[in-house]
Amino acid sequence: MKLKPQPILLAEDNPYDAELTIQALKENAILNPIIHVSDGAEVLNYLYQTESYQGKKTTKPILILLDLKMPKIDGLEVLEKLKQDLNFQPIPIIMLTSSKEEIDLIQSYKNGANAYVVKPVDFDNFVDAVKIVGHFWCIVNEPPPLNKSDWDNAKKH
Amino acid sequence: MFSLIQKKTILFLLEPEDQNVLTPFIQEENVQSKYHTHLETNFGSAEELIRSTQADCVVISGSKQGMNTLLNLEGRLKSSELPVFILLLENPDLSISIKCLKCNVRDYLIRSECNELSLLQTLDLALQPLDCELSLNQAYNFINQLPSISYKCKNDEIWTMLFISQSSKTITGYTPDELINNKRIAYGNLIHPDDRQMVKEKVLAALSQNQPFSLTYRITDKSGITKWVFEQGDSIEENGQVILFGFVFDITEIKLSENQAKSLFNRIQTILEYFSDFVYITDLETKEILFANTKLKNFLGYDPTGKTCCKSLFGVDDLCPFCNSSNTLSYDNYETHQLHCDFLNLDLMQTETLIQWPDRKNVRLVLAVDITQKTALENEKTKLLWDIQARIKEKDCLYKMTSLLNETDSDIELLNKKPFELVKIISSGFSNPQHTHCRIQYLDVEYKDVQFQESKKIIHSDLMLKHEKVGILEVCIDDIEELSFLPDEKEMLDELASRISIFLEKAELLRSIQSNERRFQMALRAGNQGLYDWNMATGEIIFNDQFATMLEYDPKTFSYSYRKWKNDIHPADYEQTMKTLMEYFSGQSREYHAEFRLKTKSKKWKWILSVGEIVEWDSAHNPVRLIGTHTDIDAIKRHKELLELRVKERTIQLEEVAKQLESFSYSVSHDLRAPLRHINSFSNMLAKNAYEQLDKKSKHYIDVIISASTQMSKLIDDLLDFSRTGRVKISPNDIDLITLINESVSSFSDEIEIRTIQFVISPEMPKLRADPTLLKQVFNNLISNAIKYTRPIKNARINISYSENENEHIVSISDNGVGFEMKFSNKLFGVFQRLHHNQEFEGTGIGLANVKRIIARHGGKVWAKGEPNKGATFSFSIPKHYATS
Repeated sequence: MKLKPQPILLAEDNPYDAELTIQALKENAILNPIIHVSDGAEVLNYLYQTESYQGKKTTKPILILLDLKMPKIDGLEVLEKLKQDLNFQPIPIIMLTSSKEEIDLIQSYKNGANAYVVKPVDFDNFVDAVKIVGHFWCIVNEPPPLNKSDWDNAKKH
Repeated sequence: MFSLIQKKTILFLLEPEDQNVLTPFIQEENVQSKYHTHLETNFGSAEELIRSTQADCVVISGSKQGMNTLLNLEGRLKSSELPVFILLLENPDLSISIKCLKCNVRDYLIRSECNELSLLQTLDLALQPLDCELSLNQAYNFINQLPSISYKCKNDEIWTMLFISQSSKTITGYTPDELINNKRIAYGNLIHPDDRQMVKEKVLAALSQNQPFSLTYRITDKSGITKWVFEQGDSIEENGQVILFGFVFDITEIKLSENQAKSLFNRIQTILEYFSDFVYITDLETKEILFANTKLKNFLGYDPTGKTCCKSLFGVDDLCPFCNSSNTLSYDNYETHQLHCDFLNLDLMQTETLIQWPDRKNVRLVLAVDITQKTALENEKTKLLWDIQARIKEKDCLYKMTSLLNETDSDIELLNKKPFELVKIISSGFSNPQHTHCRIQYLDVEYKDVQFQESKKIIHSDLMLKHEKVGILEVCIDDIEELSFLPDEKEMLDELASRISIFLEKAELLRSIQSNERRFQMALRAGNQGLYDWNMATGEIIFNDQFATMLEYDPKTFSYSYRKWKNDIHPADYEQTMKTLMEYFSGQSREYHAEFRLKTKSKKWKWILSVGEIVEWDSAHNPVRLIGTHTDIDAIKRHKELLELRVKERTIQLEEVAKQLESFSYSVSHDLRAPLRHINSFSNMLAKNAYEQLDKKSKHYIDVIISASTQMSKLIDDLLDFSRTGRVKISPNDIDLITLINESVSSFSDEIEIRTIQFVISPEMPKLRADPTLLKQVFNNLISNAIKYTRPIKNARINISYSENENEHIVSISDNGVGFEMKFSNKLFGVFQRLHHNQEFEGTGIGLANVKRIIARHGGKVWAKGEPNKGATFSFSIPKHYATS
C-alpha cells in the first residue's frame, strides 16, 4: 500500500512569511504536502472540519507550524485548545515566530508546545532553521499512530 | 383746702452730670409755681442742708457719693426732720434698691427718661401722704420687671411665700400664683436637699444677729433642672411675726464656668501632687496656703492648707522673700531664691510664679526644692579638700585620683567648679570618658613639680559609685622613711577613698534633683497640647481648654467621658487604639502612645496623638487613673496621607507606562522584524536566482540591502535586550566570578584563537551575589568590546582584574587596543553613542548603555579610562551588601 505522506499544517497570517517557509521547506526536500492557513480560526476549521472546511475530508497533519500572533484566534489559543483535545494532543506543534519575549516562550511551553523556533532575519539562517525543524519532525521523529483507537488504548495502560 | 396753697420744699442734691439734665426741668414754671427748689452739690453737708432748708423731699443722685450720703444720714435726723428721698438713677439697679430698703426712699427717677412731666408726677406722688397700696403697686411693678426674684415669705420650714415676683417663672418654672401660700409647692422644697441644712443654718445665724444674709445654693426647677442661685435677704417684723424678704439671682452660668475653671485647676493640682519636690500655692494677699502637695504634707506631717505662709511652713513669719517684703511677681516669669530654714533644718531653693486660682484671684505657685544635700555636699567638699591637704602636709606624700567615671563632663565639673585655694582637683581627658583621669594636685610650691613615677611607693584604694568601681585613688609616698607608716597610710587612704565615693554618689543624686525643676516649668507650660485626666472608675475625663478647642468644642460647655471618646474614634483606628491602650494597661508595653482620628464637633475627623501615663492604681494594682496629652497631628498626617496617595498614583502611572513600553517593545520584536526578514530573505532569494546576471552596480545594491537589513536586525535585537534589562526582574544568586568570566571568554574562543589574544585573568576573583544572566551579559559586552577594539593590535592583551574596598567589589577589564579620548568618556555609556565609525568597528552603540543599566540595577557604578592608541579600562562596582534589587 502506497502511503501518501501526512501533510504539514502551516498557520501563518503573513503571506511573505508563508511563502518563505514553504520555499525553505521545499529547498530542504521535505516532501510532505503543505497546507497553509492564514489564521488560528482556520487551523481549527481545518482540524474540526467546520465552516470553510465543512464537509471536506481533511487529513490529520504530521506537524503543525504555528505562528504566535495571528488575527482572530492567536497561536497560543489554538495551541491550548489542541493540546487539551485528546484527538489532537499527539500532533507535534512547533511555534514559529518572530518573538523572543520570555513571556511568549513560557506561555507556549505551558500550553504544550513541542518546540519553539524564532524565525531568523537572515535568509540563510531561516532556511537552516526550517530545514532542521522539517527534517527532525517529518523524517527523524516517529509520529504518533494515526489510529485513534490505538491512541486511546495506549492511554488506558 | 388751705393746705393746698402751701408750697413744699425740694432739695436737689445732684452730681454735675445729673444737674445738667435736671436743671432745665426744675426751672420750668410748672415746677417753680408748685415747689420751692434748692439745687446743691455739696453731698458732705447734706444733713445741714436738709435742716436749713427744711426740705420735704430730697432728689439725690444714685451715684456712689449719693448712696453713701444716704446711708450716713440714717438715724441722724429726727423723724420730723426726715424728708422723702427720690433717687436719680442711670438705670433701675437692683443692688441699690436693696440698700435703700431701710432708708426713706419713696421712688426713683431714671435720668434718661426724665422730663418736666415725669419730674412733677414723681414729686407729687412722693409728697402725697403715704398711701401704702399705691406705693406697693409701684414697687410691685418695679420688682416684677427685675430679672431676679423678689420675695417676701414666712420664716417657716418651707419658706411659705407671701409674695414672689413674676421672675419666679423664669427661674423656678413656677408662677407666683403657684407658689404663694401653697404648702404643696413651697419654695423651701425647691432647695437642693444637700444645701437645705446649710441654708437653714446661715439664715438662722443671720437672724440671731439681726444681720442680712447672702446664700449660694442649688434649686431644682419645675422641669427638674438643677440651677445655682444667689440670694440676698433680710428679716423684718410684721405683726409680731418674723418675715423674710430678699432677692434670688440665677447664677447657674457663672457657676458652671467656675466649675470648669476648677476642674482645670484640679488637673494642674494633680500634676503638682506627684512632684517629688515641695509644691504649694498661697493667696497673694492673705498669705493663706491654698494647696500643698503630698510631698510637702508628708514632710510636715500635717496639711498646711488654710494656714498662713510662711509661719506654718517654716515656723517664721517672714522667711521667704515674698513674705519678707512686698516682692512683685508676674505671670510669665519665674523667680528663684535660696533660703535656709532653721526650724526644719532645710536648705531650700524656691521657684515661684503667679497663676490664677479658680475664683480669679491671683495666687503664687511655689516649687521648693530641698537642696540641703547640695549645701551639705559643698561643705563636705571643702572639708574633704582640707583633709587631703592636711594629710599631704603631714605625711609628705602625693595623692593621685584616677577616675574612670563613665559620666558626662558635668559630673567632673561639679568637683571642678570651685577650686579650693590650696588643693585643686584637676581633670583631664574628658574627651574620652572611658578613661577620665582626675588628679588631686597639691599646689604648694615645694610639691608642685614632684612626678609620680619617681616615687618609691604607691598604694591605692578603689573609688566606688553605686557599687561600681569608677576610679582609683593613689598615694605616692615620696619619702622612704614613711614606709613604717604604711599600714596606717593604707587605712587612711581607704577612708579617704570611701569619703570621695560618698561625695561622688551625692553629686550624682543632686543632678537628678535639679532636673525636677525643668519638669515643673514644662508641666505649667503644656503649650498647645490638650491635657486630660481620665478617671477609669467613673469614666469621667477632665481636660484643659486646648483639649476641647482641639476638637472644636467650647471649653465652657464641653463635657467629655471615656464613652464619648470611644464613640468618637474613627472605626478604622478603633481596634489598634484599643489594643495599644490595653497593652499598656496590662504592662505589655511600657508606654501609651497612640495615633487615631477623633470626631470633632463639626463631624470631621482629626488626627490626634495621645500619650499618657497611669498615675494611680487600686489595691489590686488595676489602673484607675490616666493622665496624658493630646497633640493635634492632623496637618502632618494629612500631608503624609497626601504624599502616600501621590506615590500610589505615580506608581500606577509608572506601571501603566511600563506596560505600554512592554507592549511597544513586544510589537517591535514581532512586527518590525517580520518585514525586515522579508527584505532580507527575498533579496537573498533574488541574489540566488539572478546574481550572476546582474552588473557590478546592481550586485552592490543587493549586497547593501542584505547587509543593511542584517545590521538593522541586530540593532533591533540589541534595543530589545536593552529594554529588557530595564524591565526584567533581578534574581540574585551566588556567583563564582571566575567561572562566569571563563564562560564568557570561551564564548569568544573562535576569534581569540584566530587572533591570538592574550587573556590575563586575576585568580583572586570572589564569590558574589548578583543576577547571573545579567552579569554574564555585562562580561560578554565588555569582553567583546575589548576583543573588537584590539583588532588592529598585533599582540592584543586583555586584563581582567579584581579589587575591593570596604563596601564594594570592583572588576576592571583593560585592553591595549585603540582606546579613546577621555573628553568623550561621558558619551561612552549613552544609548546609540559611538566613538568609532561603523566601517572601523561594527556596533549598535547599545552594549555599554546596557552594561551601565545592569550595573545600576545592582546598585553599582561603571566608569572608563582610556587614551587613544594606548588602550582602555572599563570598570564596574557591585555593592557587597547587595542582596535583592
